[in-house]
Amino acid sequence: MNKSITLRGLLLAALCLLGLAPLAHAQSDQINLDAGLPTRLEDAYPTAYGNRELQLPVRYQRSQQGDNLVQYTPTLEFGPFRNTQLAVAVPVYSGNGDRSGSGNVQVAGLYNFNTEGKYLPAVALAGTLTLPTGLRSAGTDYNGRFILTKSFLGTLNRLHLNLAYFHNSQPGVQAEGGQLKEERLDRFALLVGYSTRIAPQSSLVVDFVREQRRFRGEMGSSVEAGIRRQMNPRMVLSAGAAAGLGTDADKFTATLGLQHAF
Amino acid sequence: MLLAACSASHTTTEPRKEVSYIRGPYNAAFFHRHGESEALSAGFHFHHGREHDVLLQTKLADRVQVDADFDAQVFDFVKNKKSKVGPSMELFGPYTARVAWKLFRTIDWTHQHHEQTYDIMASQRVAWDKKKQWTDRAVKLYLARNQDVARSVAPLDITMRRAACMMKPYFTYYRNFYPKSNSQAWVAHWWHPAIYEAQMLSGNASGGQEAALKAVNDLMFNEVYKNRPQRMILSRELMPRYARMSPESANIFDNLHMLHGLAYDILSYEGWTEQQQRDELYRVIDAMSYQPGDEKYVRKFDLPYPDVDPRQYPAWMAGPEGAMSKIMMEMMMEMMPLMMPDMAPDMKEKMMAQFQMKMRPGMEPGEIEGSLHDAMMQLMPGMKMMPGALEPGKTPEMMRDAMLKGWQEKHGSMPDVPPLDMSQEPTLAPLAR
Repeated sequence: MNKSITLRGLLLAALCLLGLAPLAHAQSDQINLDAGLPTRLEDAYPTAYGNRELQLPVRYQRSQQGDNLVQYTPTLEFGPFRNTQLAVAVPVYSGNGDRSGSGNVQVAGLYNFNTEGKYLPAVALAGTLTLPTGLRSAGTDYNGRFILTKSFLGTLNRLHLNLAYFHNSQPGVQAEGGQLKEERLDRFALLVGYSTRIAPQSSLVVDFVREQRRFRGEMGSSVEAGIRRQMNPRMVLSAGAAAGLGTDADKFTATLGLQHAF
Repeated sequence: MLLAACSASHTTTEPRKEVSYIRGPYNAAFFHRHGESEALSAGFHFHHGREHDVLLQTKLADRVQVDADFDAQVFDFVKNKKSKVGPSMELFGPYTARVAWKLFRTIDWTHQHHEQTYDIMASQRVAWDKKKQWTDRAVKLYLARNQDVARSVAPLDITMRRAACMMKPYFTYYRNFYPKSNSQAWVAHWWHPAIYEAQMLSGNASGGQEAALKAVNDLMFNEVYKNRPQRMILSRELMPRYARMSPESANIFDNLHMLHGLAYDILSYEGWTEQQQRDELYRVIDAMSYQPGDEKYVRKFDLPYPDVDPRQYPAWMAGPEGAMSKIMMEMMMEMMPLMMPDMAPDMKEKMMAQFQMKMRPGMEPGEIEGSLHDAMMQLMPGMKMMPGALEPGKTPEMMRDAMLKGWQEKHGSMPDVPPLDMSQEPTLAPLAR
């Protein structure tokens, strides 16, 4: 039952992405990548100084065990200083998968050091603080991300590299299939991606993720792809999907996202 | 490692420093009310962004084919409304974004200002008698929020003299070597003021603005594209009512449009490295930027056609002679005594004939190939060049000062252009069903 409702919701959202969405005022940028919109890849550029933007990525995730999880992550992103981006998000989960962390408050920041030059990539540092306000959460977690973005061939073909570090301040233990699974204290993820403009108002993003998963002994790899479309001067809609490789990664995920400046 | 790579490649690091649009009740009104016109504007901005890369990434020797291909590409983009949303420069000029990012910051920020002012005029949430108040606010915030790239509110007559680039080795390259692509820019620079003025004629009421803008758009395809302007039309010529209401915004508009032309001149000139091109671009950007005290010159321009109807395209709009050529001619006459103090009358006649041809797009029979500087030097090899006249990133200060003095003597005491009474809202009949 839950599954059919979820699929119907995704279908409706997909229709919106095909052009049936109402126009609204926004200032977003189809080539400026934010994690989760629609893949986990982030580029080195922040939102513009003075911008305010509402983001709503909705991510459906199916695990290898057949569990379903939908993550709604309403986010307020803004540019309080030049080259600086801050965001506050409260992800909420539904479905029969592991909903630990639903309702946590996340405070994130990104600082961009430079625009890319002819040879030099754009460089940024980002970080997120996760406060344990949600379901089955304890301790304040944090993560950091080092980001490079570089175009090549004199075009808008861009390569991105994200090196992410996650710290779980109070790793727990979870029973699954008669076994106890222990959470990692620290873990890393590497994302390598590509983005380009494929039409005047649309961009493509493709990436590969190799990550240490939440539980010890699990490694995951996935391939992600998505489209971002500038619907009007102030709004970008995005849609993407990811497929897990190997036994530990999620089987697949699908994401729909909205960014709306106000 | 990154810094070492940067240093070794003689490139520079620049901060991104993007600034968001100014919030107001009018935001995106033009997009929602005049979507077709927004799409045409997007086509022109495709030209503006893409042209930078076209010029940097192709050879001057291939210019005939490059010019024809790009002209066709732009016309297709505009005519078929390939984008409904105005692009940032980087979207179609990614290579130039890496070479001279500040140029794109300058253009994008000023395009945002134009978007703001179109929105204010299109918005029915802004009463007619409040249009000026909101426009003044948009100008004030435009100048304050991005100070190092904001264009001057002084008329082009002054900023062109400050830039002092007429004798630079690139000046007139674009119009002479890429006449078709250049004329696309001049169609765009006809269209933008025509739209402002159509809004000024129409008022806020539903139907009137829509009708006026449709008339301008139809005129563009039916007449203007077929007989493209032979000069860059200035705001004082085609949007006199708007220029009276907001001379600041009108001057910002002219200053940006001239910057487009100068940037294309610089990028099509192959005598310099990309770093030297950037040095010169940034010098011109700085020279034409807002400087304290510019306010006192804001209304120092005349209105040759105060009652112009932007829905018509008379011969004076299409020809090469107008406010722009008047400014150029004045500057030339101010420079000549410095460079050629003892010129014989027949030589002066030849010089002026070349000057006139150089100001017009394309190459004409008898015209010396190259820039205005090339033509002058061929006629008078012993012509005295001022320090800084030829080098990238340098300002010929004596020349600049002589021209600014010349402007002061000729126009310093001219009366201010009168403000416009915005208490009476005009009305225009809507389109017939």
